[in-house]
Amino acid sequence: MNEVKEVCAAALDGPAPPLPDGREMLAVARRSVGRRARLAAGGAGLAVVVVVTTVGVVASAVAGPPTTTYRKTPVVGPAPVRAVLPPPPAPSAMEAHRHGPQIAGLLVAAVPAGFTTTVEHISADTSPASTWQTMNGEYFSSVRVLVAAGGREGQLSSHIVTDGQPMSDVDLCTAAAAARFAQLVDAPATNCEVVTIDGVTVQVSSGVSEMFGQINAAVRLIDGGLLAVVAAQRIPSYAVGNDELPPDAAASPPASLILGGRPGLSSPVLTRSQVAALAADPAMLP
Amino acid sequence: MGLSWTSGRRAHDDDFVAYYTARADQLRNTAYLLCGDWHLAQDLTQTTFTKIYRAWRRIERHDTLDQYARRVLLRAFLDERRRPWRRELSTVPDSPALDTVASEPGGADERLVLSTALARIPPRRRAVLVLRFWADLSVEQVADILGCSTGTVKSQTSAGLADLRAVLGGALEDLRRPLRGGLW
Repeated sequence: MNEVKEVCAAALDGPAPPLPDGREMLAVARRSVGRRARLAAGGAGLAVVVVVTTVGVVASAVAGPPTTTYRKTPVVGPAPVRAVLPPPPAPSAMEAHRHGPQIAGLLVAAVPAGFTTTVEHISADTSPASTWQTMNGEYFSSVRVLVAAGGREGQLSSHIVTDGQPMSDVDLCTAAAAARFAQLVDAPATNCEVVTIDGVTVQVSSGVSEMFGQINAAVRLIDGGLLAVVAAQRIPSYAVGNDELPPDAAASPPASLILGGRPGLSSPVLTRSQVAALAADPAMLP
Repeated sequence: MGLSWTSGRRAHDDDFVAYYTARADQLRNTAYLLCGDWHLAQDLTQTTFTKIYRAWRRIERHDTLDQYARRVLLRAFLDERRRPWRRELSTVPDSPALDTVASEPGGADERLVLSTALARIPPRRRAVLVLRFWADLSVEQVADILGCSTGTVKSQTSAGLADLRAVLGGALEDLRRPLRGGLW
């Protein structure tokens, strides 16, 4: 169709930024391969210094029911809460991806009775995790569960991000940490609180997003990345819509597709303490 | 494809650079037509070539590399759309320019409508149109890249063309008119 070519030509009829040359691209690709190899090795080469200031919590992580302590952490003020247990090593992207089914099971199991759950599945293999690398070099492995009740729907998701960056500042409520989490996993930068569950330090936050409505989020650090659990009141309409589906799929939408755009739940499906408990659950990591 | 491939690990990087040099511009143009943003197009192109580099030694038939590259690009584009922070930063779909109505035949308004028309078509239909008519791929090739049936490609093509005509209105005809009138 000539009209399509004309439209394409018109769209391209303007100054484009210069392309990096082949050697520059080669350098980027090599760095990516090297980074991937390091991450695949489990981040063993990254040194992390953890200051243990709380005594007795390590033992509680070994036996007994989960114990939760809350402490409000101001942005400026007393010394920050220190991790009780050292962050576990970041999994490789493939390890995180392969762990998708277990994560999906944990997310679904955490949803209270009365809701229906649908695990999103867009990957090309059997894992429900969607795993990819950004141009900044971070690997994301996300599992999303659609939670619905009475024609309303929200979302519960988990995200394992491996960026190779050990976070020396373990105060998870600093502005810098909150900004990082907000950028990476949509964790609100408001109502920040640090929680210790079975020796695992978790940042919990909540807030209102124009796209997701009310959000309760929990983030825990891993060595060279983070694990986040996010409960969102609604799914924005930008998600795959029927008009974007092939006609054969639109006629009988796959149950695994999150369509979005429907009215949101009255509140996120999980409370702050519930998302925190999930984030601290060792089974969420490979 | 006009490229000759050398063998052996030492030639690996040279072959990769040669392929990038030959195809990067074309692939980035395709990426731009898909996303409407040069910076994102550059990101998508870089993602694609990074993945190609990783897979280079495992690719036995380099004559199918173009198809593989387009598939990687498409997936990167569709994955990118799912990332909330990218979507929030996207400017093309909400640009006031998209609501511009052509008023002057042959003028800048028509060009603006043309240049932004693709962005107003749903992404998968947009991808089908770009791959079919810009990249000149067959229905079978597009189906392979998108991971759907040839019937789906055909119906998406039809729907995409209808979308495009609705978006364009008379802009394309208006832009052609001076040519037909022999004014240029």
